[in-house]
Amino acid sequence: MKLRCLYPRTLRVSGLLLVLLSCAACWMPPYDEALKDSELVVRKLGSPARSFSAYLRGYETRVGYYLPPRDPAFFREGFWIARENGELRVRCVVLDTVSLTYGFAQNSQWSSPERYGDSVIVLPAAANSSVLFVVATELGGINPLTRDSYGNLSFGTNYAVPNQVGVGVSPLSALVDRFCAASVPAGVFSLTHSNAGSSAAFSGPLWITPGYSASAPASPAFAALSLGSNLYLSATLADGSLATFKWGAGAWASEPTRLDFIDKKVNGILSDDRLFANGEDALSVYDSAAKTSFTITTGKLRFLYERYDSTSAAWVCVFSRTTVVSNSKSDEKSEHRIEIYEIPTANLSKIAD
Amino acid sequence: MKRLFFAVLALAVSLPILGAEEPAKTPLRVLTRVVAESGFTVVSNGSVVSNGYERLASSLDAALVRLPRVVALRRLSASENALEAAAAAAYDLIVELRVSAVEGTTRIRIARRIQDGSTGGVLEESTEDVPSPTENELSQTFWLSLSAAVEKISPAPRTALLPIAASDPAVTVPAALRPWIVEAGLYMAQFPDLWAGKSFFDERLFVKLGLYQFFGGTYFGSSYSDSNTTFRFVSLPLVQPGLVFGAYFAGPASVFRPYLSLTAFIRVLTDPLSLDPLAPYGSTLLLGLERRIVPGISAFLELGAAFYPFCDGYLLAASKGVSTDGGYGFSYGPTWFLEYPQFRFGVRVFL
Repeated sequence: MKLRCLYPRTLRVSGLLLVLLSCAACWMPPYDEALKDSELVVRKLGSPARSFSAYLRGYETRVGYYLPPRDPAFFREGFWIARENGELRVRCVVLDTVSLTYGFAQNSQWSSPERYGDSVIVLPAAANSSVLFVVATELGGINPLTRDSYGNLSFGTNYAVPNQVGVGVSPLSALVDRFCAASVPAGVFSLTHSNAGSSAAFSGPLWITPGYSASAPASPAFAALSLGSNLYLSATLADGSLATFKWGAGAWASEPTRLDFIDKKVNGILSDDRLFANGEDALSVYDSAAKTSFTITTGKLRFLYERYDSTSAAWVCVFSRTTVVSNSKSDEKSEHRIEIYEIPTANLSKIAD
Repeated sequence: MKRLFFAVLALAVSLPILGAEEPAKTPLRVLTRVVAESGFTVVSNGSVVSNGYERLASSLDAALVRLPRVVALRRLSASENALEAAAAAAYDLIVELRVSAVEGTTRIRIARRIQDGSTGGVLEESTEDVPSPTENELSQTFWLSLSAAVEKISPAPRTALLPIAASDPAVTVPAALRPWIVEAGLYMAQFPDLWAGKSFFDERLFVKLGLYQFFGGTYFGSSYSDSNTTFRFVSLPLVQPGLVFGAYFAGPASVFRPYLSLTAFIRVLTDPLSLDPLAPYGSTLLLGLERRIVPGISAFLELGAAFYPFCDGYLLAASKGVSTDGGYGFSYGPTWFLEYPQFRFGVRVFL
């Protein structure tokens, strides 16, 4: 009763509400759409090929993903790829020989010198677990980034082509990828390709001058030659339309077929000649022969690359997912759970939405 | 600081429970009379009613008839003999008020007398000067002390049970006045929710159906980085329909009613419609305190925890994201997840 006399009711009620609102307001239910989406796919993929903990720290852990080398023996010593607002940052994950835990190498960060847009492709070398290829028109072509035993990163010999309008990469064999660059020297559209399994061994280059009368790409394009010798170009054209062209094997001199059923910009080719658009939270796969497509809503799961598995003598698609339980002091190192999943490329449609 | 606040809040919620008293069970039949000895005022909707006799008398009847003990009530006319009327229809109590204005002030003087209906003995008598009541006070707090006095009184047992005249105009109070419940809440002071249900056993137990929803709410944290968050409003494709079981620790007549409620819910994703693969089920255990605002409408505050069984505890903990939920805690195991504290408040309507 004394309280009632001391404080008018309106003051008591509004005070209580104010305290509640100020304390609440920053809560969210335990729900993460990207994590939920990834879990739906993971349940179809089965047990991870590798799962381990890494103690990671830094802002890029919130926006990046883990990219292991192509050789499963080195799956735990890979790269951390962070993209935000078109900028690319690479860090190395190494084993700390004192604490015997995995974490970022000291001073290992490499940041892109300029904003790359979304066309940059990062791919670990097929035959060298220390090399990461950074493929981007804006960076002049194909750039091998090599890590030493301490996780320090340095650029090797750049594979550059003048007047570039696009780049691309496709698997060629177990230990070799085919890197391509499209250019328009003297107004003639042409494509050069070179094979490499590691940083020091670019072969070629070989030049192709396909029949092409459409407008030149208005922004950095994806251009690559597939394992089945089909040539693809995916780009935004001068009129603003998104187009993907295909030149069939042996018919490169002819005008290309426009693949209108492809609704996204392609950024990769699988070993079976299917194209894919790998985005932040979904992987779309297009079969240019059957003109069919499917999408895998990957969420926090990230499609990384294809590798040739000599044990099963088949190409497999590799995904990674990194999860962390946040502790309240975000500056401390947090234990991240890194999982790597694989599925034979032939079975990829089985994990579609 | 937040933890301290919640500790104090928990204490505040639990204290009334510890001190809750059970009202006496003996049923009462009550006669009332208000006598105005001079003109007096009542403030109604901001204007002064020069003689508020009718408002005073009807609010007194309404306050008494809500008491669980009171099974019948009738207002005496000015000319009736109270004891004869009580004897004629077996009334247990006579509540008589004499009201007059206090000279030179806006206060009124109320002399009250409670008599035993069978013996005529005075059970309680008092006089007090109070400010002229407003309409709201009359319906909420003005009669609290009188109601409390009536609740405690034990009239002498009747030696002979008199037949009740068929023409007795007393109000007969039903066993459960308002069994249906509709409530709107604000979960974590951010997400509106809606529940409806029914109470049983003299409004002591209740069952409700409804849902927590996260389609629309507010978020004022600083680092929840999600594309669904815009301009302090947040929307997630998640609803949690559920079933609530609960029990009150005080009767429906009490102004403050502590209670405990257990909610079991399923987590439904709406795009596409499916159960959440990480945690399909959940529950909340909340300790609540309800405060009557006007008859049939109460405000409530609930505090407790949420528990998710049969789930992937690690992934659910990871779903909390890297945010500024510094004041909130959670624990998890391989198949469970516990989050605390959880709270909600809102308004409950009894129909």
